[in-house]
Amino acid sequence: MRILLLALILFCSFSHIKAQQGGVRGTVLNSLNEQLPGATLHFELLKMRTVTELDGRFLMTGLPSGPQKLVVRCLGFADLEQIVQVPAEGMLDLGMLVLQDNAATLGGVTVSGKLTTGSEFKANNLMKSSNSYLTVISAETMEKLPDRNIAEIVRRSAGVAMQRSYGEGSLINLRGTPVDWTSVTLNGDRLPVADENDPRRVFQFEVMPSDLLSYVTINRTITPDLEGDNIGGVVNFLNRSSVDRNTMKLSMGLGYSALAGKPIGSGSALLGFVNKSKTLSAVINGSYFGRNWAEHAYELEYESPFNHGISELKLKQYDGFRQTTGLNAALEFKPNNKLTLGAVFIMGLNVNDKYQYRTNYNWSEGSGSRVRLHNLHGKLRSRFLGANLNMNYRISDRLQTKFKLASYDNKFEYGNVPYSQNDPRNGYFSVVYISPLLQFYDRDFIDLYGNPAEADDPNAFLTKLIGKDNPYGRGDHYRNVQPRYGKFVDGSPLTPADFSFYQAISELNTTHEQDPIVVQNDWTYTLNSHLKLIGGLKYRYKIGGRELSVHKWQVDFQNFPTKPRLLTQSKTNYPDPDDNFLAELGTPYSGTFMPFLTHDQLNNFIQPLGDTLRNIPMNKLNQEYVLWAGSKYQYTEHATAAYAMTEAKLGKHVSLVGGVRFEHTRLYQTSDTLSPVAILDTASSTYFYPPLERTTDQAYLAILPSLNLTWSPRPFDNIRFAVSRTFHRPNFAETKPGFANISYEDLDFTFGNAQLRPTYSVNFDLAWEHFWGNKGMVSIGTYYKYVTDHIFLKTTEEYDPIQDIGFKRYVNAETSYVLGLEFTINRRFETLPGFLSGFGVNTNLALSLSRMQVPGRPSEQAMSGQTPLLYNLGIFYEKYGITTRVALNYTGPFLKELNLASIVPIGGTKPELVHKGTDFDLYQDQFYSLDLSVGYLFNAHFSLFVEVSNLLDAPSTEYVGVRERPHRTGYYRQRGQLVAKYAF
Amino acid sequence: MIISTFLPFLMKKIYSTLVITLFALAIATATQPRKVLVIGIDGARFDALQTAKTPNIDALLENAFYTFDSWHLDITVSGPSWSSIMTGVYHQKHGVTNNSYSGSNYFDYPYFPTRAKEYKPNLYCVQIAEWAPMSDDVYNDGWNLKLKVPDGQGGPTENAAVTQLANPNLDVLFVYFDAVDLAGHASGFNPSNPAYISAIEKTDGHLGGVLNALYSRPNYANEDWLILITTDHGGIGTGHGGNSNQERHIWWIASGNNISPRKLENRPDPGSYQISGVNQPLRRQSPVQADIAVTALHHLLYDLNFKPDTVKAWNLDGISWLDSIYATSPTRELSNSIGISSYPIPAHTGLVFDFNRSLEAVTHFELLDLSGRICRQEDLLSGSTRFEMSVANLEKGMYLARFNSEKGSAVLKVVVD
Repeated sequence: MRILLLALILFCSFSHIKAQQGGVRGTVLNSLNEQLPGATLHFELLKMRTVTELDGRFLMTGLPSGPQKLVVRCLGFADLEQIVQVPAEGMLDLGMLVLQDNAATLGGVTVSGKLTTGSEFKANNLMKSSNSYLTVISAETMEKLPDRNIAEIVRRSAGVAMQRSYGEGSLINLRGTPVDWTSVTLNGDRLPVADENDPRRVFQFEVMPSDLLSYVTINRTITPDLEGDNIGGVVNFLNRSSVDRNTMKLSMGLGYSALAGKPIGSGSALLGFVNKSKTLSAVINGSYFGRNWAEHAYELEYESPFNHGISELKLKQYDGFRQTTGLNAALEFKPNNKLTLGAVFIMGLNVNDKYQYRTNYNWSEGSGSRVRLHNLHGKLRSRFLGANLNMNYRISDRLQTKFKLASYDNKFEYGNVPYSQNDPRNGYFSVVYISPLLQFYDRDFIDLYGNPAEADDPNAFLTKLIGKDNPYGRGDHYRNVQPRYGKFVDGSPLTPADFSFYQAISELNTTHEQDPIVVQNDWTYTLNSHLKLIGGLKYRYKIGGRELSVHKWQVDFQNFPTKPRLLTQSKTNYPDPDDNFLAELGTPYSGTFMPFLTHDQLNNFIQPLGDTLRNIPMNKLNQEYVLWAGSKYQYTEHATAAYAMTEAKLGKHVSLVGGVRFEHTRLYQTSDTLSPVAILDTASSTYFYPPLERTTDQAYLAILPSLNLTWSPRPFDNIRFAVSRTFHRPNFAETKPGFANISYEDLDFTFGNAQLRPTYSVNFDLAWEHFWGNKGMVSIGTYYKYVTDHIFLKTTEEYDPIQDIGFKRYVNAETSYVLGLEFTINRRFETLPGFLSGFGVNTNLALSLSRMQVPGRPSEQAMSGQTPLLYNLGIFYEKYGITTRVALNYTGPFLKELNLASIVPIGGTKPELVHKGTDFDLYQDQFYSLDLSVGYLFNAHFSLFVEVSNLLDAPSTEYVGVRERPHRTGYYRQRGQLVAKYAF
Repeated sequence: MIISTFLPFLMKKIYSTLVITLFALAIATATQPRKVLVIGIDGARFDALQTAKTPNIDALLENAFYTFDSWHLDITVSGPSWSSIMTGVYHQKHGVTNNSYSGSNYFDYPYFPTRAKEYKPNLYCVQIAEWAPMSDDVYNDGWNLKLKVPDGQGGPTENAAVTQLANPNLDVLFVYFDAVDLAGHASGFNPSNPAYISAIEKTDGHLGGVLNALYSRPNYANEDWLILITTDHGGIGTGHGGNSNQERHIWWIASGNNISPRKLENRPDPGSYQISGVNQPLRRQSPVQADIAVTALHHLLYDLNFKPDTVKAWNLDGISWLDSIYATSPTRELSNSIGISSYPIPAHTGLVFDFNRSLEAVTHFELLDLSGRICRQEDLLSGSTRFEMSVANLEKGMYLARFNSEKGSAVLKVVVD
């Protein structure tokens, strides 16, 4: 704080120094009056230069008075040379400097080419002239891609790995690092997050439609003005804040999902207004994307920590309708050259109305071997809101200040299912039917560790084993796992009349995170054209919480002893009438499906049954409350930051950004634990562990120096070196007090650890970039991250053999590292003759190597979440008004979760790790997708695009240890859309 | 065969017995009040129970009538099994075939406390169950108090039992532990699985606490507690519900002050309703699940001088082992290898002769009064291990039981009271 104060005093005192030399300012535009960011302005004789901002504006001071030669340079445009009369005092406004297309380099590129590639010039220009190592994606680039989802756009850049949810990009991570090491910011503010399943500080991209944004930057190296809570890098969104002319754009799309067999629709509109004096600009844009989707998946559960016996096969048929709605409204007021006032509102709403028909074959469930039919329906609502008021004030030509007050809110909740009105029991709802007992004929005897065993050996396990896990060589192929069974009583096959209602369950979840106040103040003092001093303060107040629960309904036998309620008494339909389920694998379950409740019957199931059902709420008196007590938590976080940095041009070829950022974090968390002593509630005759509130109060200061050095030996080459220290705040679930937090699906229990230290990383980057004017760019970069206190999930001694719950606790690991290599080439082959000159490539590759030491394991291994190989192979054709793009995106397999089950051996006292190797770890298999888009620009206003994604229909697969032991495999099939765009 | 000749004989007596019962109620004596403690350990395989270190169960076995050769006759699933254990009938009657409890018919086939209260409505009966459906889904069960305790934890269950056992008016207590089954589902029902063994050992600790509380009752010396302990099923892999021996082979323990310690070994598998039916004579060679309710009922109603399994209206599948588990006579040698003992002493309603090995030849049985008159005689088939007869029509007093075969002969003294 003291340093910051000093910096501020310094700044203020600078502002009183009378300028001894003159300066110039202005805006660089292209011939279409679009602002050109990243254009460089050189006073070549003076060896002084500057770069235009995102809005094309520039400002230079400290110039000797008199006539000076100014060269304005921008990729894809002819250099503009001009003699400028620099005043002895004050500022000369050069107004609009319009660059003309470089005829020589543009060659025969038509208007359409210009329109569709202009954005890439801009993006390349920004990259080239940036002080740090970043990738820029502009709105125009996003419009050219078939994706509505920002994650799917961002993943096309080098070193970006993406994880999917419902077949769409949901999470991304940079440089093969864990997902929560990548920070996602909007206009520089890290966004609050709220997700159904993921309690980490990771932004779920599906809530933010790409249409609302004007730029996305991927910052691979860090400067002190950026929030320091990232190790992988920062993905920053910039929303549309103003227009420079009256604008109206419309886009309409209509499409089809092959698997759902249902339509897709999208639309977006942008209205921009600017008054004549260009002092007031308003922009409002909205977007809607509704898509029917479907997924076919099969899932195998491996229950024992000792062997690979299969306990369950789940056949899942999803269909749903996902709607993403976005709204962005911005107002900008520039009464004069000194002041800019702005207000922004942004909203994203993602509603996923999903149904699932799930057939569970259970070889060994709690009540015997059975088939269960789960009829599920839920409306998953994620809502993001953001608003800010900002001010940019040039106090003098040298001194500028920015002030921003922002507020954000992110919330996840389930919509109105099964009750149409608001009801606390609404959640992810399922109605479960069970078969009578079955006898399975496909099980084999093994010993504890999966070796053959005699049937009469008392220590033999009888279990289902597939592939090589079957020591008798008679295991099913992993892509065709077939349950073989008959009814227990007589071996006959099941019929729909055998199924009776078991229970209904509503999974409840309310997750919210709010940053009600984010306030930021930055100061820039331009000492001269070579040196800028920048400093600022930021404060963010965050509150949030997560509450997981469950509500059940069962038949009230005490008061309504009835015969079983049979499936055949309800309205049903067959889930796979076209024999289409897992057609990719040859429909292995053809003809095996039982009927499921119709959607209408499912939605009207609970209410007519009324009092005949017993409501089983999840409260402290519920026996299962032990699983949930720690799954409610609240937190309050105060993050206060101060930074000081300098931007310096060292001579003609070298620029430097360096400084230090301080981030202070104060965190209060509250959650419940259960008293170890059960007490009696006499009213309900129930012994229960009363909940006890636990709170923590933590504080830490992160000191984060960083330095970015760019050497441009030639105008179109950059060699970048950066070193920085960054950190990662532990996730709230990782530091929460109270009892363990449940992961209901996996029945995992994990304690937070209030002693957890944040992770720090020292990051080194070295990269070379070369720009071929408008033809593209190439870059090769390498990086190394030295990580201390990596946060790690560890199985502890707090093992509960009764529940067989391996309690886990987060701990700090010792040092680990990531070493990586990135390569990007974007190149248009316009030297090729005629028609061929429209071709180009857009390709990148990232390789990384990481090592960490897992406690209890004998050797180091790759970090979880780390992808060793990523690449995008894109070929495009842009000529004659045609824009075509084919892209293959590949993400290599990576470790997802470590199996650190530990157990107390017979006669032992302390738990020991069951597996020292990785054969029981969970992996995400490679994923690739081939996407195609073809567009045609009829004229300057109207264009038509056809987009087809996921052409190869590659599955998304998780496996245990080896690929031949799949956990979950899902297919989404192809999706296509025809989009018409009109710009006025 | 023997049983089939014996049963109709007993049936004739039942109506007169009921009349006597009503009379007996009116003149109930204030001798040692008979009370029952049932302890259920879910999903404990017979061999794992023997592998685990269970000092409390071991101590109990020193004074117990028990077997590790009990067999499950029905659906090896908790809901149906506990229903059989507590009602004394199998799923064809109680209607429960799975853990949803749908189809249950507890109105016609209630838990044994309901039956006991038909005669002794003032019995105070308590259930302490870790598994919620046992409290929520069962009705007409006769409990005065159904306590729910945290599932799989053991500690609160033990504490709740200790509290209940401090109540001098307590007559029936059922305490149920779930941890072993949970551990089996999680990582395997198997004696080689450390987590499973550990769960059994931990449960044994809680069981010890319950027994200590029982023994510490101020009036314990003047009470006649019958302690019954069993499981609902075994398991194989991480599940159960099937017909493998690992799932069906279970155990059965009865203990108490007036018990004669006996271990029944090498008892044959009588089969299952789930396979090809149950061989009734074999089924009577070793106690099974439904016998818990019937034996408990018999103990509670003992002074009424009838065996619950003979009450036609109740239509019970289980039999009472009460007469068998009382103190036995000294063993007499029929031949070199076959010893015969009888129980109980004295006999009230029934009299059982137990052969420690199956008979090698047809053996002639005679019961003589002290005047030498033959009150009863029968030819016992080769292969029999047990002979059971009613003493309801015999005068009180001493008798001699004589066994003769080509292999040898033996005489035992018998007292009917």
